[in-house]
Amino acid sequence: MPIQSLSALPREQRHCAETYLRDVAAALQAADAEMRDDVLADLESHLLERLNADATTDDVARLIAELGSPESVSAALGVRVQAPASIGSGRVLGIPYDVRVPTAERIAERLWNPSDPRIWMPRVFGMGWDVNMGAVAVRLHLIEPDSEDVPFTSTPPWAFAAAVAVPVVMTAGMLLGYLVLRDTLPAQLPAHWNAQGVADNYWDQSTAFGFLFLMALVPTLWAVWSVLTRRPALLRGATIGFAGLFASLGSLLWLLTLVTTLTSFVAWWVTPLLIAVAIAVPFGILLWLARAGRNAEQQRDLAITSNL
Amino acid sequence: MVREQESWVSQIRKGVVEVAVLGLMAREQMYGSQLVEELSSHPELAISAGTVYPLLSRLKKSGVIDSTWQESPVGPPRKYYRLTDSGVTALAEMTAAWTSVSRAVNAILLGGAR
Repeated sequence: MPIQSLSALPREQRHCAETYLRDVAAALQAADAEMRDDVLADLESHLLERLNADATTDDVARLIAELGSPESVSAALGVRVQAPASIGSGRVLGIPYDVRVPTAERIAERLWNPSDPRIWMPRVFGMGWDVNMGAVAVRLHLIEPDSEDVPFTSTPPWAFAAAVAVPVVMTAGMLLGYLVLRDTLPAQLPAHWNAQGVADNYWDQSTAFGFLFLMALVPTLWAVWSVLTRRPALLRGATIGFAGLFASLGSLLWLLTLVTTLTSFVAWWVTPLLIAVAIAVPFGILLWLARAGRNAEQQRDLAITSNL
Repeated sequence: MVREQESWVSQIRKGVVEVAVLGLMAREQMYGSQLVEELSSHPELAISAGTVYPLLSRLKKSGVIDSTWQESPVGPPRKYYRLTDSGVTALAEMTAAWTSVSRAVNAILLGGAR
């Protein structure tokens, strides 16, 4: 005989059923209120329908197991439970943000991910988007989406050493340029150029150099450290690419400082060219590391087959 | 309701992409663009080229497939994919599940015998 209300059940059985319904209600917290009430009413009438006044606790437990866990009920309703991993990242007004501490995997997944066709990826750190240079390289037919199993893992150590030499040489060149020319340079150097390429703001010679030099030096030392200590391949690739960007920015700005100070050179195309080169350098470095990895994979596999 | 149906269809597709890709590789080893081509000959699966490669790298990471470079009769070497032993087992389990689930659903929809 079905019962009319849960209060018809013995105390312990009733407590069991009520706890279950309360748990389901909690799991459905994020659901539409009307839907939640409907589901709870359905579950309750199912319990009433199938239980007798003399039901044992085992009967109740069996019936509840049949109905499924509160989580499976909310999943069936399509209620999205916020995963703890998504704390620190998400979207605001459609714009992605991420304030989690960047990991090598995440940096590589956003900046060099040939297998993913998306060019605009959520920014590694901060708000907005980053360019997936791996997808750009695929579009330009410079590599295949699957030319490496995991980016840079097959890239040989000598290739990393050669790649890190690029920012090292640029940074060393800046220092050399400063030491050689420091006495011929005026005490005040340009700190900013307007859109026409004319200097419109100045600062101390040593401040001007120091700022640009540190901008190149810090990421370069980080990259050298990651290569020397054999950090994971993804991290080495990421730090070298990063150092390539800042070392080329720093050394190009320093070169621009020297040229505009020592000559009367002015041109509108300097800024776009500078930005283009600063982007091309890390792109070239990452592409080169990826192709070195592909070559290593091919040599490994093709040597085996030719020996068979 | 239209939106809900669309999301249902896309969920079904998402679920079967994996078994479709593994099934293709069970017949013979395949290279990336060959897989893309084979899959695009089944438009009802609606698998875009862009989703095949991320899927391949995920399957490879989970150890169900394996890859090797091989010389190609035309052009540069190709990376071929094939099932590993655990991939063969996984595919067998997925096939069994697919068969029994689709049989049950068809029995309901088409009113056939149980």
